[in-house]
Amino acid sequence: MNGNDLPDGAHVVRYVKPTSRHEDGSVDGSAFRLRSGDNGLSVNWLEYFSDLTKAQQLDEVRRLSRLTMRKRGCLAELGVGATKQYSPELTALRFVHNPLATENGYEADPSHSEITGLPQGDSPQAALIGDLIAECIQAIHPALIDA
Amino acid sequence: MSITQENPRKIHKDYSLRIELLRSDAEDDGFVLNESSEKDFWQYIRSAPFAQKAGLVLVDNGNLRAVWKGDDESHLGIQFLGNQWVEYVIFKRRPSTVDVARVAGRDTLDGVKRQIDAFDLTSLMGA
Repeated sequence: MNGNDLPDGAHVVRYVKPTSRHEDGSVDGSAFRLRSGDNGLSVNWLEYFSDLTKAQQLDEVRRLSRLTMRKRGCLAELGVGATKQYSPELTALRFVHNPLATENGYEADPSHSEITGLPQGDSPQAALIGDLIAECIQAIHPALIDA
Repeated sequence: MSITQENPRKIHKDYSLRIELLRSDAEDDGFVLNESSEKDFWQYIRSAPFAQKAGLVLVDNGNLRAVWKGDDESHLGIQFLGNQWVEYVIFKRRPSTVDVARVAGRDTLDGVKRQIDAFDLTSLMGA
């Protein structure tokens, strides 16, 4: 499935740092801007783990993540089709499956995917697109679960 | 991001506390608050003393970003780039339609005020 577009019915989550969250817990659009040199935004495809419950899918994403997740960070959930259809500015987005192989001591991350088709991250258009994507967030999940 | 009217002095204190928390969280994640951005943020806020409180976040480049939202889907985001420049995003519903105008650009601290006037967003800021 590497390189294939995710189906419109799929859902993805993206880790959002504490500095990208507002005081009310909502996610700022700047969490959906490309970093310099990147071609896509990292997300994880929940339904890749098709035999698991939603809670278990999220646990797998947390377990396999290569990021240092913070307690006041979160996982922001987007519906693939709903996001692309939200406004004309978002129709150029693609949600592409991009599994990560075992590397540098990290376990493989088979649900890893990317959002591509975004403007360069330091442009005003990237800010506009980021704010639109933030309006498409369907759920916010804890980045860390207390033991 | 609330639109309820608040005491300007309390808003300023809340902003100070919020910025300190963002500064601390940024250090945890290995980046720092851009002091020039913070300076411009305070200059802008002091020039609009009756503004409603914005939501404040830190962009990965270390710049502060303030966001105001209205009940009518109006939306104003301002990233303080430093050196008197800002990047803005404006969403504004056109009267009596379902259409939302969406624009983004870069301007000076004074120039963005003219954009806010042009899109009739002064009520969003409570000015």
